[in-house]
Amino acid sequence: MSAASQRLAGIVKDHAVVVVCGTGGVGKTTVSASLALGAALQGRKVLVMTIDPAKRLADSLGIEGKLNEATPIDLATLGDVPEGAGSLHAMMLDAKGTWDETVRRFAKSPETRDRIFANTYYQRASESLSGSQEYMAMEKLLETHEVGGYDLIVLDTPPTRNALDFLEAPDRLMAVLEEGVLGWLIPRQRGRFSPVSAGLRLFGKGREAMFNVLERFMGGEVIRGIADFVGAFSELLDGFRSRAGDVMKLLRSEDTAFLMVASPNRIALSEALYFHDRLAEADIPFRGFVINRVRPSAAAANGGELAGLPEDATAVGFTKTGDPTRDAVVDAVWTNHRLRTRWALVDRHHMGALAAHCGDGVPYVEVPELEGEIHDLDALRLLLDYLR
Amino acid sequence: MSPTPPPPHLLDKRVVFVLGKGGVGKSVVSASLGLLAAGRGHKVIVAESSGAETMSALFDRDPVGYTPGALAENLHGLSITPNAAVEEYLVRTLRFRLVYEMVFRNRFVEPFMNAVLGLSDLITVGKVMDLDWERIDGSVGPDAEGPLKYDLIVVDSPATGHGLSLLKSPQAMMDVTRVGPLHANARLVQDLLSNRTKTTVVLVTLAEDMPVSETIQAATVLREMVDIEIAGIVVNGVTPRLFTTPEEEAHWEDVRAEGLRAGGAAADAVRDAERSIRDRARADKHIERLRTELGLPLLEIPLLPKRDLDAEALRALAAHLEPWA
Repeated sequence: MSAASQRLAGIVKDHAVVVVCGTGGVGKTTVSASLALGAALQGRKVLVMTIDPAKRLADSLGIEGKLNEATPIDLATLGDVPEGAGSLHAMMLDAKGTWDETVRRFAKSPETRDRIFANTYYQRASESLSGSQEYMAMEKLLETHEVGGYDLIVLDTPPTRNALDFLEAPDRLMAVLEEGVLGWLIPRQRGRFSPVSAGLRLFGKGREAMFNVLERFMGGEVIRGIADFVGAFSELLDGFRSRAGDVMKLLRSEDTAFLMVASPNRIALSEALYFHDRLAEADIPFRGFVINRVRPSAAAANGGELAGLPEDATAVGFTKTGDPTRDAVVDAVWTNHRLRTRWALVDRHHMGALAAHCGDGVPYVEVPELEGEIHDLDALRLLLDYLR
Repeated sequence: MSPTPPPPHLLDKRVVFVLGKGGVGKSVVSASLGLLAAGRGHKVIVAESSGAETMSALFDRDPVGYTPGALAENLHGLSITPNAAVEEYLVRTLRFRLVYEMVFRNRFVEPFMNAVLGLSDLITVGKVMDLDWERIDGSVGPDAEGPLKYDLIVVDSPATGHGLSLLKSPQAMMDVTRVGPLHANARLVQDLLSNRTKTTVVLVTLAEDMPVSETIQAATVLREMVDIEIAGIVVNGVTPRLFTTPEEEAHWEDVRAEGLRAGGAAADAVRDAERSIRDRARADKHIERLRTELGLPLLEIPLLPKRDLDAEALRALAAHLEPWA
């Protein structure tokens, strides 16, 4: 385990970008923040970008409500800050805000920009278009990386069911916005036009039938609204396309490392393995697993098996006095121990399956289930003890 | 302590949406609820709408896909994949498959319609309405007659954000389309959601900070934006309470001292007991927060010691849902 731990500390020291992935509820945000803190304490200038931190953590870091804005974190509150410590900034990502910034950047004229902002479908698309949140996290990562100023950026990605969506996000978003919808809902033309008639001019009668179907389905007003949005948006496509290419280049770069956080249960670990294999396919550098919230147990840690624990508490030194209430307490305490041991063994069983799949080449570290919520710098530092 | 509202009777409903943050055990609660109802002779279907099919794996069956398949006695399952649901709906509504394929199977149009208009969300919930309408003879529709195919439909919804989008989708579609078949369809689906006799939502959470906050937020959104009943909150994976009476607690100090003196496994047991007592105290705080902020019925399900969730574990969980039957 110590070799793997070494490597995890090295990853944070040697890379410019660390992307922390994982399904929802596995503690990705706290692991990201803790790794960032560790690198800062080692002397690096670090930014951690997060999407949806627990409110108390956001409050204690002072980033609550500050969207898309790098906020300095005062390490001095930690007490004994090592000499030569670097700095830590945190940023709460705002997908909607990043969309707006991107539109502003790529719009070729103020008129186009305003037309997009004014369109009700823009609002819906920027909030709910599949992959949009993930894509905007990547966009913000790239932008921040390009501006520079940090030795390391740790990105806590949005929670996605299979943790892979964001990798395909640029492609998917492009597929949605590109030629298809635009090409046949409306041709690429500037200015105001009737999408239906313009479409007819270009594509002929077959398209007329399609518009009729869509119009019957949703009403002409809806079609015209969407067409107007898409028409204005088509101007931005070249910008989006080149950014998507840059994002992929950054993700595949030697300076970037991917880590995966998972909980030690069957569903989370099988998704983690799937992710591991998919990253390899996509030629993206995977650097290790963090198995978070492993349930600790004295018996399991000693390599014990449940079978090694007697069923009766008196066999280990408890006494039964004959007082039914006291005896019930003894039984409750012993049953609880057997139960917690079983939980710990279940976790160990699942991690064994992960290790078997990955072989020796993939480092992973275990973080025990800590008590209470991790909601301040001190707790993040405590977590760091397990991430070295 | 706030007064506890009376428990809901979930098996008297037709449609139960099970909603919660990722990783809190929605699928397991859905499966257990289905099993409980099926065990009482109800004809039940568990509809998954989260994409990845977990229900068949829980029951150790081959994947069932979009066509309902048997999971256990009286219990069926299906996975409502948006593409299949959209295809079924549009082909039926447009009447001609060719038109559907020309217009909607365009790989560019489809995702756009889904994202911007919430079409696939609406049609996913619409499929639940179809299941509600379905008769034994296979007929489906508002005017279908004859004995019902299913007495209870349990919907294992996607994680909170998307799950809420599903429930908001009928109203959202009505806001966008003022006329046409989509508008009419959305109206019917909304009527089903709003029907408090037939339809309800069960929120699933863990007794932890983030899931509880998300649950409170979800309940608030449901109350403000969706006309639908919330039956209550299932708090999953709660650390069992070590002592149940003050008399038992009075003996703890003595037993603790004895265990520490004995050392070895007995001392380990004492430390585990102390941890459980602290865990439980924290869980109680989160549960109390849910109770006071939402005032909804609460049901606790203890953490189970199973390695893998199988039929036996589901039956054990189903027993814990009995109070809400």
